[in-house]
Amino acid sequence: MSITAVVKKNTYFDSVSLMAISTKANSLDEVKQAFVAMGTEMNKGVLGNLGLLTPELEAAGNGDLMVVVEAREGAGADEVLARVEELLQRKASATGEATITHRTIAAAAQDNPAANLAVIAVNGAYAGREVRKALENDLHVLLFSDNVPVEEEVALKELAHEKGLLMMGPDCGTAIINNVALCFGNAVRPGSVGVVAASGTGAQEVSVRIHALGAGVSQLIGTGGRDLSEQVGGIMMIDGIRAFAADPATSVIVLVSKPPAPSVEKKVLAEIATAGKPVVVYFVGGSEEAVVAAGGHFASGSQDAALQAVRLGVNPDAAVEPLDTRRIDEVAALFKPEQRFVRGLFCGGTLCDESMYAMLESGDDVWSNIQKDPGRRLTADSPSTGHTFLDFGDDDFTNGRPHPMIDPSLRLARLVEEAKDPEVAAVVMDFVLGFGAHEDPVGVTLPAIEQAKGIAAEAGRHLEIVGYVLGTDLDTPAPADQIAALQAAGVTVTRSSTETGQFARALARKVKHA
Amino acid sequence: MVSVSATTLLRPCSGDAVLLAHLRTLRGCGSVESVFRGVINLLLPDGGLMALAVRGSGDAPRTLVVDIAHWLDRGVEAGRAVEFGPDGIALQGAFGGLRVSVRGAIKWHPILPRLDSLTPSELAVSARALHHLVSVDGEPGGMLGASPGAAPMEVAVCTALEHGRDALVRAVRSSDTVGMRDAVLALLGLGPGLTPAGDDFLTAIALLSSLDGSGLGLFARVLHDVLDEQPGRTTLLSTTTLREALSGRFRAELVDVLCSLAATPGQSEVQAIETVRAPVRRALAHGHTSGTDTLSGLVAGLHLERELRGSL
Repeated sequence: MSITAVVKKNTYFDSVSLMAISTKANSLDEVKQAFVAMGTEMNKGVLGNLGLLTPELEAAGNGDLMVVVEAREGAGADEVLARVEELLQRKASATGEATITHRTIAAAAQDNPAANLAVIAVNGAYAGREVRKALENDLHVLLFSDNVPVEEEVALKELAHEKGLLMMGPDCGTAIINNVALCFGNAVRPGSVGVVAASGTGAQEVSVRIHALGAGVSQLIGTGGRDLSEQVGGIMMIDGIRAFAADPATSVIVLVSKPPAPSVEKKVLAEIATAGKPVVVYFVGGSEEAVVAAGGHFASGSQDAALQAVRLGVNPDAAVEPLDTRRIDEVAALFKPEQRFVRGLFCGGTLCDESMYAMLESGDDVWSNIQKDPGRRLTADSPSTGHTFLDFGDDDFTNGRPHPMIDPSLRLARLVEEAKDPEVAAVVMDFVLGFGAHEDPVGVTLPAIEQAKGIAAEAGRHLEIVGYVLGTDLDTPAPADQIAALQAAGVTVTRSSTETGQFARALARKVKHA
Repeated sequence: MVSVSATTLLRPCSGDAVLLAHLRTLRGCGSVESVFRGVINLLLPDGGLMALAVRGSGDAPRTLVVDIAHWLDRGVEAGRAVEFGPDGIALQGAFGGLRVSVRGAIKWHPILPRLDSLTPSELAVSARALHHLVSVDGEPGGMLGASPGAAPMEVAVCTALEHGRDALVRAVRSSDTVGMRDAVLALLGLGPGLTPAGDDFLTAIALLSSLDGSGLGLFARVLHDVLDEQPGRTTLLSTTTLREALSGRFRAELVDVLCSLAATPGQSEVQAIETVRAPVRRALAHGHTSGTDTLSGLVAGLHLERELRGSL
């Protein structure tokens, strides 16, 4: 039996911490058993009965902490004791990496006093209660859960605002805080561009484009998709702008959102004037006039938003390559006359929105599950018609199942179905990389791409698949590998969400006038 | 991060009325005994112990609840000097001074119910209801026995706790003061935490003994004597808590449990479970096993009260 003991003079831990240390110590591979207790007579008596009482332990006082470790055979006692002491030290300094499961937010906050943010992903019906607890414990919140009532969202955001905290969400899939990407965030280099986004994949795309332009992100604050609705009133976006305005590490601010409520857009734009630094506004389908009048920099797309931000705050000479129109001509020449339509199957809502708006700007009719025009709105069960752009991350598709960035099965089945439609010329798809996303989004889609192309070929048609891989060279898997796999499968790969929309629009025009 | 450069004045929320009265006249230098996220324990100039708890903490004897979220970013460390004066309590943190005013605190008095109106059978019903909830919702590792898969050391502590409890119950039943003393000594300081499980168990019985009409007076005398004779037998916090309990003073959560038990006369066991469920759950949440160990003591104490009354 290899017993080692140490006495920590006048050392106090509350019982929950002591239990956590003890549990952790007993789970170490090298430890047969560990005992951490105050040096009272009775505790020493128990150790004596077990034959574990050393002279050092015997001298412990009732205000001292006793650490007794029995090492497993082959493990060095001193080395094991050092590991247990490390646990104590970690607990005392509260800076260590604990892997303890906590049953409550309060316990987690107590055990990790340096933590100042809670990521909450529980059933939406209970999420509000947990968020309130986190805020009451002075924690910023990223609320991943959806299906949280809007009234509750407003109340929680007001509470956060009063306490000077961020309440990112609900349904917030992306944030980068102090260079740590949360949920679906990408690996983006640190920099001076601050992003506030009411759109998860829109935020991902802008941050990835900023990275591609050689710049970086100071913080990316997600607000949740409803923040700019009439009911919520942009509480978190306005707080985000103010936070960036006060942040010396941020030189330029980018705002990203799907189309906001007009009254809220006005309120948010009013904040720009007092920000004291350039603000680039990318509201899908937003008004250039309103943004310019407010003193902001209007962005026509996600790539333009990133480009302007980098030019304004980092590198005035930053540039992007224009769309290669030769490829469009080559592809258009392959279609039969009846192949007149483009179908978009997207994981990212804003990526879908951006491509759909590109099509709409050219005067095309577009049907979608996220169409503002009720006459052209589809449901998850609706068959495609004309140009159809579907956001598979929308509630209608995700009800009771994971997000398509995690589980792509619905989209894969739809791809095969679209290939059977003789009117379809091209299918546009996004492949989103990121920390919480599918580990190989292209790989899991390739069999369906092959099947879809085969179906079209059997019918004597060419089916063009256009793919965009959203990610940075720091992401895993590497975008270069994903792109290579797509190209090997005969997929045309675009370089940004904006270019994807431009390509789809140009292709639609070509086939329309062919 | 809190930025504190000069002295920060902290507003009191509520405080133990006895402590508040004491602090108004207390002068001199004490020290910080221990610092946790939710509480700082202070050694008073007279050698006593008091707690500065954060807002949202329940009231308790010798505790002043202060309007602060937590203590961790104030840089207060054990051993630092604390001044007690007419302006309140002054202590030094790494980021500046802190002054806790005593004025304006809402006074808290633990108001205990009377259990002497409960018949022996009603005491039995309330004890069984409490036992049921503690068994179902309580935390093992102390008076409820060892956790599943526990290491031999935890098993040894839990076995010793069980023996101590059985010995105490036997001794109290037979009014055996020598046996009571041995059992108290066997339990006092037994368990790993700052308030060891054995102490938590004894504390609840001590609190019961302070109620009007209690038959546990002999036990209270024995415990009092042991604490006087062997003050270093357990931690200072535990000794202080036990002494307060003997005087009928304990933290609000347990007082709430006692009040709910006093509301169970005429109820079936099932009804009584529902009556006491909410305060019991709050009390169980205290510490790791502390809540469970304390309520286990209350269960044992209620059974003893019933048996002792039956023998009158």
